[in-house]
Amino acid sequence: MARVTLYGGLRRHVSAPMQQLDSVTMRDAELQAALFENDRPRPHVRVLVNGRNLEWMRGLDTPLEQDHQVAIFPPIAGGTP
Amino acid sequence: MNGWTGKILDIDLSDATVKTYELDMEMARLFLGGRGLGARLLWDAVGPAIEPLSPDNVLIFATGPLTATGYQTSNRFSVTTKSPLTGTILDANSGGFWGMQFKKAGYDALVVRGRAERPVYVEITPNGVTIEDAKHLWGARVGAVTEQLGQNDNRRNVLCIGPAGENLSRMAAIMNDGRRSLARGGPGAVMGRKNLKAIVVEGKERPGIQDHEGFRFLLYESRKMLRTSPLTSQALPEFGTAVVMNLINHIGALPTRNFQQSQFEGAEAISGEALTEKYLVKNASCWACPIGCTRISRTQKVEGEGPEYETTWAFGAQCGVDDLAAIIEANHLCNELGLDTISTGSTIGCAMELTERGLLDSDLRFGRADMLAPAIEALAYRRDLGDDLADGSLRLATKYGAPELSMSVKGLEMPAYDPRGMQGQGLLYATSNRGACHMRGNMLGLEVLGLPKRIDRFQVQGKSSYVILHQNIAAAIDSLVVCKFTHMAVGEEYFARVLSAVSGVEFSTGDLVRAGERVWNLERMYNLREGFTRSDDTLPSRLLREPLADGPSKGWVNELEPMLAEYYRARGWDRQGVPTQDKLKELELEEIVNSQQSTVNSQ
Amino acid sequence: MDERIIQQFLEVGRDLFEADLVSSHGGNISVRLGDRVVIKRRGAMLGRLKPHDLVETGLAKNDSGVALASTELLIHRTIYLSTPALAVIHAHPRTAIAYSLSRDEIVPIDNEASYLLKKIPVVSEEVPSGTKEMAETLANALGAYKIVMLRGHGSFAIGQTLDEAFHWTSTLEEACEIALKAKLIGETFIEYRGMSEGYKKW
Ligand code: SF4
Repeated sequence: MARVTLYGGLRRHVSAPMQQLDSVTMRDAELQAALFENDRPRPHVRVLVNGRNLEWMRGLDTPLEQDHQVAIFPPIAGGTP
Repeated sequence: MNGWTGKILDIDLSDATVKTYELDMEMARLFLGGRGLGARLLWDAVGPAIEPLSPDNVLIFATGPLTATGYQTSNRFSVTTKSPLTGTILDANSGGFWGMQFKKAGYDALVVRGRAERPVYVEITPNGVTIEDAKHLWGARVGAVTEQLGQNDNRRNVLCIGPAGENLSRMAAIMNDGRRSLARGGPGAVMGRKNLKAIVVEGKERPGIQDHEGFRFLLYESRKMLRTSPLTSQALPEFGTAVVMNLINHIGALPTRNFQQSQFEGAEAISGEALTEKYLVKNASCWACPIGCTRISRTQKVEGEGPEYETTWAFGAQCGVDDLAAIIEANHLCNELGLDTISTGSTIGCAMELTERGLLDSDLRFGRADMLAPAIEALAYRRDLGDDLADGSLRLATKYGAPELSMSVKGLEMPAYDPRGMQGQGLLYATSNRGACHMRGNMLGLEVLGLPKRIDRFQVQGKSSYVILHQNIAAAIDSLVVCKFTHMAVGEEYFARVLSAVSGVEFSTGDLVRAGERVWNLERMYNLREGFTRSDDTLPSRLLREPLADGPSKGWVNELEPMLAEYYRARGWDRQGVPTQDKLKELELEEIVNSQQSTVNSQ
Repeated sequence: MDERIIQQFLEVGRDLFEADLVSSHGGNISVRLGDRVVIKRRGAMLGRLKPHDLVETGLAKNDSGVALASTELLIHRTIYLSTPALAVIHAHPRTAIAYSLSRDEIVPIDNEASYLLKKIPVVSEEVPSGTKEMAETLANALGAYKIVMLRGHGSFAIGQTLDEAFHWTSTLEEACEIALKAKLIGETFIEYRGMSEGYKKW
């Protein structure tokens, strides 16, 4: 079971920011509808698996393993102006 | 031409003379204002013979053609000088209210020369310009000075230094409106050397706008963009800039304990989420800004503006500290003393590593949240070890025998992104004209956030193109001047059209970016004239030779060499990083650079 | 060449073809990498690009690959040298081409394109395609607009990445299809946008 952590405003939608994910790839994850659109993360939503963006892996088909850390970020921005 | 007031105010503190002269409109067309105008004026005013902390160095405060027009975030201004920290050309820019007010007082720029015999402050009002005695203010902290001089956000604005500037700390900031700062590179020390405590402004008239209808349309469209973008309408106002902490940590690019690691176990505790949940009082914003990224936070001891992401990092991950209250208090203290938080935190982190390696005898150790405040106080007053800290991490680490432990470029401490996990960011730091800086074309957008589209952060080939484009755009924005956060939602094509509407002179998007390129190249020529060379375009050896041991960026160093070679070629510079004559000609810089070369030599 | 760059070409090339924005052998795409440019090989099909279909050459100067490069190399180079572009897409969006035959600018009426593009200028090909003058006319227009039409020929879009230029291209074609359908319906247009006069002056 991979471990998923949600950040920023996404935390409003769940009871705990950290959850165990009982799925083989992100495609099976329940979070899908909220986070994805046409098989891609919604604009400005970032999904990282062990620190790598899904985009540079196999997208939603990236295999998830036991010890994988999945981090999901809503639109965020930074840098000191 | 509208947009510019057409006037420059020139004050010589040595003999208390005040002059006003006309802004050369050709200069305005080429360099716009703010950072660009500052660079152009500094080129003539301060040659290599002048030491940064000599009274002959000048401070140039400059607004831009958009400042005070009411366009979104048109509140900004900059200061340009030769940096006491790096010896490079320096410009720092700030928001708030002061810049807008100064422009409304009727000037595009203020040049301050010489040194007053005794502490003074300058007052600029519709009734004239006066130089006043500041004996009673010398030694006072920023909040007190700002209040005593009658700060009133929309009517009367105060810019000042704190004790750090008076004591010539090389990382002293200039503070405006009591809470915003012209922070990096030590402009506060130059002001302190001049015995100038504060500049108070009261304005009267907004600058004129040529094409009102066009301007209104651009305001309307820009507002739509700022409201539609989830970044400027939700992310920044809701969690502030510190919300990127967890993300940067996750990708393995959060410099930790003086860049020894790239992930910090305490990241969550010091993140924007934690700040919002536990310490946020409310949001605030600068003049004419619909975004409002600013946080007002409160701990049991203090209440004040900030902290921003970079500050939270500097006193947090960089020092191994996960106590957010202590970080907020450190930030507050820096604002009161007038210090750049990035350099201050990073230098303390450097001292911590020196101590842990047995090179320095001090109580500064990673994780010691209780040591932050005393170290900052000592630094601002140059007490004990603070005297070394105040000179910045490079001089500190050199003195104690390990210059490679200074995490700086050209002497300016790097901000909160590890170039091993963000290759382009490394190139940006290495080539930035004021030393390592993230505000000169931050790669955060492209390499991490995917703005406008994502480029792999480990990609090396072709990276120079993005870095150059964003450096040029940043230089243009800094010369207009608007807040870089607008650029997350509003493209540079809008800025070009706003400039055209305001001034009545046609600027295409290409023209605007080219103006940024011109500014970048003039700054480069300035640094070359100061004796900087290719060998200064580098990164600390740790980032070039020590691969990260853990995390998602494991095994990576920064691949600077191939990126830098490509960068020089793509900029039209020779192998030594010198702009070619063709490039200077193309940018209409040839005459300026060549004629001034001789003037300076003959001095 | 970096595999991620190749990947972008393959993806965007296929997307352009599948979106009906080019014919089997039409259109062209390129990116700027520092002082180099990578462009599709002459005759290669955008919908079926292979890594060996990409040619890398100097931005200002020719070198080995140039003989194979597309005949449109001159235009792409000129655009890179005089605008901030880092990627260029030349496509043949059909409805937009049809519109370009009868006007000097296309002003979209749908929300998306009004928001993103405002207005698209049409430049005319008075001189044969592929000449220096042609290249300069296009580059000049692209200094102020991120996508322009070459009358009767096709679109040229610039961006920081191919994805971005693709975005402008498909937005333009969508706008023209909507405008065409609105015209077919033939009823009175109800202006729903604020300050819409501004779009015409963009
Ligand atoms: S986005 Fe933040 S820093 Fe920029 S102008 Fe607005 S409040 Fe000030």
